[in-house]
Amino acid sequence: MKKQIVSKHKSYKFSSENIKKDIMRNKELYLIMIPVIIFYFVFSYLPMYGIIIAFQDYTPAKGFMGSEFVGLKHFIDFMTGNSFLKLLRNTLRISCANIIFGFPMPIILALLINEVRNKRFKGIVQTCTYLPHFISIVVVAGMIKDFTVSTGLINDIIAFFGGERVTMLAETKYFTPIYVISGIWQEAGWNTIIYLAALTAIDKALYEAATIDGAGEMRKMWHITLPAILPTIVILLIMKIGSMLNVGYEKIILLYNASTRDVADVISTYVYRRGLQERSWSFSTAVGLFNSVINVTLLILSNKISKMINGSGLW
Amino acid sequence: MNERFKNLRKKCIAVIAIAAIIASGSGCGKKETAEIVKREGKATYPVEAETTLTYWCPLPASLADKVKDFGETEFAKELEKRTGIKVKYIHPVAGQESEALNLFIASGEMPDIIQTNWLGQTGGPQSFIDDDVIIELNDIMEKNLTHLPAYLKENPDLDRMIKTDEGKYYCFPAIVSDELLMTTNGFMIRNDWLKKVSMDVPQTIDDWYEVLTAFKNKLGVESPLSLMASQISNFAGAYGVSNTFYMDDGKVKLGPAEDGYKQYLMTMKKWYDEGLLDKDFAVMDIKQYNYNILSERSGATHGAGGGQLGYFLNAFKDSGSSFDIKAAPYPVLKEGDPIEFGAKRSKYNSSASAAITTSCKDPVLAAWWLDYSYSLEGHMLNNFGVEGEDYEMIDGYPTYTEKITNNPDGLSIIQAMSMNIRANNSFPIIQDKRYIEQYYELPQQLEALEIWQNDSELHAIPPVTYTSEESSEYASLKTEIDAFIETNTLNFILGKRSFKEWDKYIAELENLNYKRVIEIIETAIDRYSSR
Repeated sequence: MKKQIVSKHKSYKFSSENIKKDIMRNKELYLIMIPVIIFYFVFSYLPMYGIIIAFQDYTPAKGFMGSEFVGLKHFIDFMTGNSFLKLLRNTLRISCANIIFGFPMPIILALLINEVRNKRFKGIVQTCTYLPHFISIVVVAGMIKDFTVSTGLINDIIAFFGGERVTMLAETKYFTPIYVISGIWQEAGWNTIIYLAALTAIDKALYEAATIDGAGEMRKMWHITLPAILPTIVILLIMKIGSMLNVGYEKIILLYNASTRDVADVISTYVYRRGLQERSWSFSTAVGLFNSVINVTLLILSNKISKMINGSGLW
Repeated sequence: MNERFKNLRKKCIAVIAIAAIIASGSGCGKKETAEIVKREGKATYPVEAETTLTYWCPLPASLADKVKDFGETEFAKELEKRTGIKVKYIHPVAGQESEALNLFIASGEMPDIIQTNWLGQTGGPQSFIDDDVIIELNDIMEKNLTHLPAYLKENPDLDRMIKTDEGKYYCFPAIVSDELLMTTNGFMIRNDWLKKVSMDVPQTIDDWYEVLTAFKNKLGVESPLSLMASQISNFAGAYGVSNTFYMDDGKVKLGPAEDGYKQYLMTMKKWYDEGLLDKDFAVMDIKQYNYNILSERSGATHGAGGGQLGYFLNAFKDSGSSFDIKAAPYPVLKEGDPIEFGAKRSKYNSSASAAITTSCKDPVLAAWWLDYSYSLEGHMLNNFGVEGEDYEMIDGYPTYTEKITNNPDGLSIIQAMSMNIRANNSFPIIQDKRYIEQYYELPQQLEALEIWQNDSELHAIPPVTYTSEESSEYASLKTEIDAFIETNTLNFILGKRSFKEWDKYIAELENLNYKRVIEIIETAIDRYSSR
């Protein structure tokens, strides 16, 4: 065990001598790492040379070398275009709503599940909340449509209480709520797994000590459980903020229609339409790159803020 | 010394490995320059050939749960036997055709033959020839083909439609050979309900309003008219406009920028407000609107003569119900007005054009295989199947046998047709009207073909092609305009936007520069006319 700790030591220097020693000592670990490194190299780093087409007027016939270099033209086109502000606004709105309402849900659910003492009941609850995660998004969108039409279940309930029936997916004001709530329904249970794992790592002795000191369930949750899983929460939150502009296009495309497009069209659906349906390769690559740059910036920023506030972050 | 050598060897291996990875990665985007097989002269079927061609086309929906690919159908086997050419069929996932196609093009590894709407793709056919995606067929047409060139010689109007401005042939076209086959979509309305309220089939917009109101008030029908958002515009024709760009007296106009469009929207809004038009039309899909008719929630809709009219009637055939639905003509404003708008296909059905790609190593063989469809034998096979099995000649009229009309294996007529012929699906063949006369088994369906007749070709924009520069400008402008119109059309009808804002709407539309699009289309039409 001692050998492996060497690499964490502060005075460790990246000399070739040291690296060699380390490799010799931890051969097996390095061996295990090789497939992972190859995977990232082949599938994440190699394709990066394709980014070059964002600065070209690319056509497959001319290839990467032959296509004309146009600099920032596509970026300028996008940012001065009619849809830019609308897309950015929609992306941020849907994303923020997702984080504000969707992010705390699995934490709350995990805390609740953690409090359940009956093992059988706990198992049933967990299985039931995981299940929606495995339903294909196409099927989920179909269900949402059927539930929200003017003769659907939700409208039946509204009408029962004397409300007026509306086609909810045709109303701009309902689009974000429908998107976010159905997302919570589908993913909250699944996302509790990581928190539940963190919860099992808490030392039982802490709870016992607190009980002796006379703390109630709420106090124990507030002072023991939450602080224990806080690092996990922070890491997941940073990652979530880092992918803020990545709103999944599949669900949006399945749910939107002409009357809600003004609030539903996001950057990823736009990239999909322009790139895959209209063959504007360069333009959509430029938009995608813009997206990634913002994401990385957000990631770095949120990590900095997290470090400043509670001294821990992703790196 | 030994140690050093070992080091060197290790370094060498590392360098080679990295080089290999990079080389394999960067190879992806490039095309292989394969040997092209040269063939001389014209075909005598069956041709002797080793090569298996690959053919990319959508799988007909009626076959989706019957076969894995089109090659398993009896038709494909017969075609292979007659032409002697082996073909492997590849199908995209339904609904993702254009994505799949664009991925092929980006990867540079394409099937030998691609069947798609080349005219409708961004850039148009000429750009695909310029970008080395598909090959121009002029040379092959002249030297190696018999049947398609002969057909084009007899039909010079068609000849003009399937060329680019530069005179390049790019595809083997799907041809609609008769007026009767051109309009297979239209309005339909419950005939038994019309009798109950003692009214006639509606002709004018006012008739429609009265009939729908009567359905609602006298018969208590919940939502008399069920239409999908995309179908509503079939009422716009009554006001002399279309929902997109169209021709009027030799000029190109944009329907939604005209006053007629406002009148049309106001009518639709009224119908929507009064509950005549289904409340869910904005999100309606085909499943739901079929359900609305079958569950008698609605009594009128717009759809296909086979897929809807025939389907509805057959669903109630043996139930003893009084259900009866019949075709209604495209509406006009005043009685006796000419019907100048409606869903009508042109003689060249561009949606199923087969082009040979630059990946094809044996283009002449592919052309021979495609050309067979335009021969007399091929034509009969495409439309009627094998004589003696699928059809019999009775008094010179090819009549389907029971194998098609009352299949012993329990296939419906549409499935039996899809297995044995190609005329009922989109393929690069010549459609024969004698096929539809028998496919539409019911009198209501045959009558519909007459009732739906219209002169919408008066307002149709010819199958023009754009230059590369025009095309990208056209595409980006038109995408924005289409989205804007679609959204605002719904907003006006749903009442989210008031008609007081009409002038503002027109100004916004002008801001999207639709006049430039009109210019582009008009220049393209000029070139088309001078082909």
